[in-house]
Amino acid sequence: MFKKRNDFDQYLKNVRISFPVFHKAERRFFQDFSANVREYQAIHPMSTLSDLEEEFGRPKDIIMDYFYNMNSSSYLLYMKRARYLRIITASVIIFLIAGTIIESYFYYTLYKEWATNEIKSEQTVIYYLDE
Amino acid sequence: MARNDSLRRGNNIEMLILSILSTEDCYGYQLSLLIKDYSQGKISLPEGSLYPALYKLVDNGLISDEKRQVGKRLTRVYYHMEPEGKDYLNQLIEEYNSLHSGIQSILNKTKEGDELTHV
Repeated sequence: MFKKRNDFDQYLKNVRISFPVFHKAERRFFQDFSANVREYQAIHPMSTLSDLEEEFGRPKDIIMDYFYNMNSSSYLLYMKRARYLRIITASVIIFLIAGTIIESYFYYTLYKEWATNEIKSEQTVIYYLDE
Repeated sequence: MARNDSLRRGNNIEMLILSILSTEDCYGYQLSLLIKDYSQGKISLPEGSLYPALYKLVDNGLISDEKRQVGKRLTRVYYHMEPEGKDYLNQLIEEYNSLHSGIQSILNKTKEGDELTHV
C-alpha cells in the first residue's frame, strides 16, 4: 500500500519537474491536475506509474499539451519575460567583465606607480682620514 | 471578409465543455470522464487541454468555479455555466455546424472529382 502511494507522489513529482517555468498559472494547473490524480487514486489505489501514464499521459506530453492550449497572451508574457531575463543577464555579465577590466587596470597603474617611485637604496661610504 | 476561427481546436474543446456543463455542474476530472463516456471512448480530453480551456472560460465570465470540500482531505472545483456561456455555446454550435457542412461539401466535391478522373 505504501509503495502504491509513492507511485502517485512520484508521478506528480515527475509532472512538476517537467515544467520549464512554474508561475502562478502553472501552479493553478498543477493543483487542479493533482486533484484529478488524487481522485483517480481514491478509485484505483493500486495503480502503478505506468497505469498513471496511461490514464493521464506522460509528464512531457501533459506539459506540451498545456503550453499548446494555454492562453496566447500568457504565452506572449512568458516570451517577454524570457527576453527581459536575457537582457538583464547579458547586462550583468557585461558589467562584471567591464568592472574586472577597470579594476585590473587600476591595480596595474598602482603597480606601475609603485615601481617607478620605488625608493632606491644608496650606499654612502665615509672614510675617515687619519691626521 | 471576417476571419473565421471555426477551425481552431480550442473552440471544439470549449464547445464540448459548455455542452456538458449545460446539463450539470461538474468538476474537472468528472468532465474528462464524461467526455470520454459520452463519445463512447472516441474523444479523450487530456488535462493539459481541458484546464487551459476551462480557465479561459472562467476568465471570460462564461462559466464560474466554486471550491467544495469532499470528505476530509479532498477539495473539488465545480464549474457552473453562466447565462453568457449558454449564448456562447449556441454560437459555437452554429459555427461548428457551418464548418462541418463546409468540410463535407469539400469532401463531396473532391470525391466527385476523384471519380471523374478515374472514369
